Amino acid sequence: MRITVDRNAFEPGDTITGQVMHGAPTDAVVSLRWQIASKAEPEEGQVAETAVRIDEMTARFSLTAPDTPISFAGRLFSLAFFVHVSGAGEEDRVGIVVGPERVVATHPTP
Amino acid sequence: MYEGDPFRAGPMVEVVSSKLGARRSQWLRFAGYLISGLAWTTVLVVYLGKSTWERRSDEGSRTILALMLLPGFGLLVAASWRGLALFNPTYEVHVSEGLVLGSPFQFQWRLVGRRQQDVKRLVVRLEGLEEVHLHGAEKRLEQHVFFSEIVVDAKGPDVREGETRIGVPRGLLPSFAGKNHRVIWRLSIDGAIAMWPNIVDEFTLDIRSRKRRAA
Repeated sequence: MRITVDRNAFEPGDTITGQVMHGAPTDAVVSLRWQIASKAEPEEGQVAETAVRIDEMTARFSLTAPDTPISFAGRLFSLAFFVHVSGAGEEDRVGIVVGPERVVATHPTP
Repeated sequence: MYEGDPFRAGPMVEVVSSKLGARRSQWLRFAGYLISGLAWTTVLVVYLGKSTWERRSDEGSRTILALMLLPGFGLLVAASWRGLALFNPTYEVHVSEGLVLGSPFQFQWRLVGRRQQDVKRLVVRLEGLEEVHLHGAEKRLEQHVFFSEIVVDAKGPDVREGETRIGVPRGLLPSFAGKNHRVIWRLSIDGAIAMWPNIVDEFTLDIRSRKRRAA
């Protein structure tokens, strides 16, 4: 099972499109998730999900980027988005950016 | 400055103090300091007095006991200081509805309660900070202030009530509340009163990366 997105950066509210690929017909679930990296316990959330049916090797999907949270890179922690697919006992993911002007929010430049 | 209530400009929303719970427990903390201080001091004074009266202890022991009174006096001083703060007036805060990074917003403040005339200076900071709650062996709260700017520095009648427009830079971290991770935007208020504990309060703002879409 593989997943690709049509582009890697989105504004909040944009439609995220892409396709999932699998060698045999199957059902799959595509979800938009975020994950926080820091010294603390990992934290993860899901903001959108859609079911797809892969009949002829590939299937298209579409999800909506949320208003909040957005991708950001702080000093103590960072939040990153990825699109995840699971089905037929397999899974794959691809990282994306969700933010105003399609960039990762960060601290002010000194 | 304003006619009628609520504040004339709109749409505005009232922001509740982040220290409201703490304010309620200020009485408990005051009582805690007072009782601990009184208990500590009373026990030691009685023991010291009795041992001096009965000539049971030498000079060295009495000096040590007298020194042990200092923490008790410290607790009583802390209780008195916290007690004074209970009589402080408080600030009511209103801000524009739907705060967004990159868009200025209106901020209004008003002092309510007794002894308003004693507040001589008001300093308000807009702060953005990251917070991480670490669990396990190194259980603690880590904070990093990534934005801090004085947005109000007032004296005279403006200390009691006023309004200003505050700019928030774009491209920064918006408010976020996870289980162990938070990005907090807040207005920190410091109202200075001469020879008295200051008014110290915080108002958390929900600042988003863009305007909320209509449902």
